[in-house]
Amino acid sequence: MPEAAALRHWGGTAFIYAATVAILLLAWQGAAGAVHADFLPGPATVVPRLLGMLGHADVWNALAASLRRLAVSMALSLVGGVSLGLVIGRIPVMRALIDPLLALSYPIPKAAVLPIVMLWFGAGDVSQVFVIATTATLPIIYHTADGSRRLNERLEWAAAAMGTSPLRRLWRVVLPATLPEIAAGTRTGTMFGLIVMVTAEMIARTDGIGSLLFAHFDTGQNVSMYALVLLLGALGLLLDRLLAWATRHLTHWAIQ
Amino acid sequence: MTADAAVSASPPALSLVGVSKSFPGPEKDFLALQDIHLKVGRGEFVSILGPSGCGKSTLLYIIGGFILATHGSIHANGRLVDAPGRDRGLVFQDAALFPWLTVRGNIAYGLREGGMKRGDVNRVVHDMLSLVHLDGFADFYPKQLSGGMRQRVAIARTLAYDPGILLMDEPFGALDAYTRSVLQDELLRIQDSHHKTIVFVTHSVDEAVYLSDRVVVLDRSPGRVHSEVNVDLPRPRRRQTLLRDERYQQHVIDLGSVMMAMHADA
Repeated sequence: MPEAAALRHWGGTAFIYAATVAILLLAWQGAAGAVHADFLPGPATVVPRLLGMLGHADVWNALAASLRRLAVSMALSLVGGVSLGLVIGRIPVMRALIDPLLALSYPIPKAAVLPIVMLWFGAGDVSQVFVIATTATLPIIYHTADGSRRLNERLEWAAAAMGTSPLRRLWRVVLPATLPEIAAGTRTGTMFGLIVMVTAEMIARTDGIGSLLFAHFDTGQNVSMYALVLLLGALGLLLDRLLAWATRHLTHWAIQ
Repeated sequence: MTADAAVSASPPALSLVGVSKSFPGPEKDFLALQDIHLKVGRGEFVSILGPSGCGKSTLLYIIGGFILATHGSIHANGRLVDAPGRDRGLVFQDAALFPWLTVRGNIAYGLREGGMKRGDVNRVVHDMLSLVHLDGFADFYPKQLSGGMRQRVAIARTLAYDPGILLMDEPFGALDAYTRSVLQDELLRIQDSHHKTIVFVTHSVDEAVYLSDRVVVLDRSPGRVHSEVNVDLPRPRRRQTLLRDERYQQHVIDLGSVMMAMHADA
């Protein structure tokens, strides 16, 4: 794309983004005016509160705890999801074996299992990371398995003809060829992970944004609750944009 | 073994003895190839010509070591073929370039797999790029190239690590007529300088006669050798001279009739 056109395109996108946000804020403010301010405070109240909260260490500590938890979970999900996905995608027997188990476990809300996991590992990071990671791993497994199964066989033959052993082909051919699918799975998985993270933190009540959110509920600080929900929304948006950007850079060679 | 074979210094580049291939079917096995005997001399350009479904690509991939023959044996330079090997390079119809690698990365792939040093790799890549007239395209990705350019890269990638035998599966089949002619001429030019042993699968009579020293015609159901034609046309070949050559025209007419007869049977 020529630079001027790209800039125009970017400007257009930014304008639509800004307009959407403005309309949402206006609608929110309007709704807030119609309802009791304690139940639904408007953005004119919530946004300044959020900015005020960002001046204190509480929110930053919670945010740091949540992000660290999410990062550890996603790292585990990526390693486990890609490995298991490749096994399922490349070995038909394993697919027949593991696929039903996955199909069975996919619809179970992992947060519902958290109390059981807490029985084993306590309420700490281990249990929470376990729940977040298992949730985020599933879409990564599915995408990796799908991508590595539908791989153009000729690519492998070309590599084999040039002397690449089957095991080495996994690293040199299968993995790079599956990268676009892995990236898509990671993006979905991260969003799943973020959702379950908040739930897990609200149940475990150790630290993190979810825990802080519930603490505000306990003490009846409704405006602060709304402020944290807003913060979570912003966090989700930021993470998604970041992953979209990384995907574009890692898989720009793929045919769109 | 005859006295002749015993004293012959080197075995043929390729030797197929009684090669058959059947695929399991629901009722009974499907016989794709039946009792194929074929010898290809070093530096010889042999085309496998046949109608679609005659198993010519299957035969090529059996020689490549990707598909195992049900019966018979294949020897490449005297060694039994039971797996892919760097002595037999492949060029596919769809180029099959690694899309995540640049043109340079694709051509360098086979060299690196062979353990070549970085400096030598760069030199060979440079030479290959000029051989296929793609200087300046080293940093392009496959998706940025036209079909003809991709096929040039595929040829360069295979030539780069210098396999003695080239196995080409309708490499120009998906290209437009003009690009196809240009690449045919380039392949002739490369063959004049590199003297590879080439097995070239095609369904185009003109292409087979134009490029080959010998054309092996396969019939179908089951795939078997129908006939062989020696193309006694001198090299180097030039398109404008060759197309006017009566011997070329006669080969095209004769082989064309054979192909038409096969299609009529189907």
